[in-house]
Amino acid sequence: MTAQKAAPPTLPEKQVEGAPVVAPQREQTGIEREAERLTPVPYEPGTALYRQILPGILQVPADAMLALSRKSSLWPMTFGLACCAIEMIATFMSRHDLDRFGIVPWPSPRQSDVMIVSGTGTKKMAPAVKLLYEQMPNPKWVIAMGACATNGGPYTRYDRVVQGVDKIIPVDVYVPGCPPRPEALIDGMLALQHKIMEERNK
Amino acid sequence: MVLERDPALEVVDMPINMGPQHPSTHGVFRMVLVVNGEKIVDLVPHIGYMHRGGEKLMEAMDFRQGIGYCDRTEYLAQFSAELAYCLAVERLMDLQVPERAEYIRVILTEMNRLSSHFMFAGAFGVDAGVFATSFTYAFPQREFLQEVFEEVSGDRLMYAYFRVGGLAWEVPDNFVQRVHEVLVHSAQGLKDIDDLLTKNEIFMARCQNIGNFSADQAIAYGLSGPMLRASGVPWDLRKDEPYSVYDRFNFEIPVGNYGDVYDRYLVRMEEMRQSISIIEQALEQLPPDGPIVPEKMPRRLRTPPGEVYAKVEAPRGEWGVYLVSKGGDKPYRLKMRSPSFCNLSALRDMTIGQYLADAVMILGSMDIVLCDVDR
Amino acid sequence: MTLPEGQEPDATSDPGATPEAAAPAPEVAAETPAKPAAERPVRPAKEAEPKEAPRVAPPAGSINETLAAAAPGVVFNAYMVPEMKGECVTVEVSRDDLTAVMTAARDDERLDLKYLRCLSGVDWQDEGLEVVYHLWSFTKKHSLQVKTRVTYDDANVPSIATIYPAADWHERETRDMFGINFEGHWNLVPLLLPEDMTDHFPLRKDNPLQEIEEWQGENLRDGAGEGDE
Repeated sequence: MTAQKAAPPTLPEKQVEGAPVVAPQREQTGIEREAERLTPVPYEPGTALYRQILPGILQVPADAMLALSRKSSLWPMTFGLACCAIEMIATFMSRHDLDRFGIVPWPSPRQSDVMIVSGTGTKKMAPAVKLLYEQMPNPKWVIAMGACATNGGPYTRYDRVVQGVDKIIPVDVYVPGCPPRPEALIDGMLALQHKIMEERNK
Repeated sequence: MVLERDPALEVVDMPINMGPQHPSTHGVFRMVLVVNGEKIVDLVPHIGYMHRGGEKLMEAMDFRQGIGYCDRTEYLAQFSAELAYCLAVERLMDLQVPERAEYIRVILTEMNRLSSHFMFAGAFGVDAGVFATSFTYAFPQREFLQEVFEEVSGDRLMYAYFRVGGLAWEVPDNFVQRVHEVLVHSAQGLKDIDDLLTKNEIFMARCQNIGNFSADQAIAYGLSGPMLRASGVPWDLRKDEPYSVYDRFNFEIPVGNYGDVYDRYLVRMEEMRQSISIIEQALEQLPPDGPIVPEKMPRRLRTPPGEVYAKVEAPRGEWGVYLVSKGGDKPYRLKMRSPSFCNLSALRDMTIGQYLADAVMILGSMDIVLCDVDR
Repeated sequence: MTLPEGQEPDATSDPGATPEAAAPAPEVAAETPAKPAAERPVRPAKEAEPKEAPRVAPPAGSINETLAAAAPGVVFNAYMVPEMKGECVTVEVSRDDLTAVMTAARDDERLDLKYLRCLSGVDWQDEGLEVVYHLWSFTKKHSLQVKTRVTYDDANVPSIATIYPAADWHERETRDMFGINFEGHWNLVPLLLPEDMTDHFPLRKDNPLQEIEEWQGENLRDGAGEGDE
């Protein structure tokens, strides 16, 4: 180790993000710009073609089949943030197998259906969570796993922690626990499947 | 004829963002790599995505509630973190932990080391490209260990079982027999992972001669644990600055030669075997009955004013607690010296000059826990 | 978790208090109302507790004498804190001498303190901010704790990141948490905090976790730990 260390080259923050280089403005980081760029196509349920042809006759079995197939093959995006990620991985593994429900962990947000937010959302991570949610294609659901994702959990009084991830993204199922047992997470996934089936007419 | 090059074509450095969410399960860690072709020219790590204010919150927790926060900070080696915290407070209060509690603490901490290294072996295999097979080998072993932990403490992951002065409650009656059963499973699981990975040609080619770090560099960067031992420094806190009852056991410290990623993997595998041996010795020496808290245990845990630095050999390195107390039942300042934080600070100098694919291996060999890095 | 039969709760478990889980404990205990003032048990007057840790002078031949020989001209105040159980001599230096002391600690053959274990900041409110360095030597197997103190208005400490590269991230973190500016550090950008929240420093005592401290004080003042045993 040399006594005098040459200053490592520091790159300006904006240039590295891959986003178009704009004048540096403190309000937006590259992640936030990207999230804006991915403006979602407004999804109005109920305007699909099969609903307009002979309303009611094609719709009911088609809705049931679609909901059945969607709930039987939920692919969660592995979004393990903190300690709950270990229990989430344990749920995917051979003892408490989630594969038997058709639930296969998938690393990419572009091909996944459900986002299991397992862990504390901090204010630094919040833009990334929002961006990942925007990157998922419809239909998508969110499971808030653990106490931290529900309302901040044991870290709820710290001001750099988002008090529950539902302040950033809409959440469908909350699984309480710190960390929830794998059986509780399976219960949450089954509740999500029930919800998908129940809301099939929407 | 003279071949001409198009002057507009040139090789430039390209920044690549390995963002806070990526498929390797190390957690939310962001690296911005600047690559020239495939070689890494610069690396800027960004941490803080899991900064939840553990140290600030522990200033508002008394010495019984703080144990839960230690668990959640180092969530793969929980007993090591709890042990460091309890050692710090016991030293301040000058408490003498009874023998049986010490032995049970050692047994549980070493079992926790086994489960943490199993997690490392699983995740490291995934990084190397064994897509989920190593996970599938490693996690059932963790489940067997977690069953024993659940019988003892009531929780699968956040045990909160150690208390200042000893343990929270007595272990179940079949504790010794259960640990013997689990050790059989662990030895077999260790052998399975060994057969899968250690002599595997592809694995060796991916790991050898990557991320070499010499002993002087390791000391200068403040590395500890298997990273330091793989670089050739024979230092283990259990042997060289013993705490608890570690000086009564007979075990060896694996030390590497080259300081590369393969050495770190081998050091951790060998540490698992030594841990199994320590647990067996501790089970033989365990006093069959006895108190688990000291006789004169104060009801309210109040420390006299002072400061202490207590350290344990966690699976990742030296987990230290610098506790400053101004009297009272809460710490005035509690700093958790986290090994993952110190090991990660060396990532840049370890990775520059390596190839892009090796950056993932080097990060995996550091075996970081992001909640520990960010606290 | 219920205790196995035949065992009485030992003295550490609080009989009247909430279950052992640390995290849900705050929420559950907040529901029990505080007892009115008339019913609170009268506490015996506490004898005056010492506010400061006792300090003893280090024995002759300790590391501070070697340090004095290695870094001549530096004035420091050396003591030992008994809780460190004789392991560690603490040396208080002023921040101007810090670089000299650290360089001597690393380079001098008799000291050989090449390992920076830990660097932490402490906020002593009226007495300023303090930075504590823990050094260790693998060859000589001795340790040293170095402290410097600065005031709130002038929170500048020379950086030792060129001497000990391990201090790089530790200094960035201490700057995030306490606002101490380390002069000479080449890259003192926020490490742990989000970029837009680096103006107030979390670990300073004037940023209290108010709600949790009020709640804690309320419940603990009742003697919730001292049950009817």
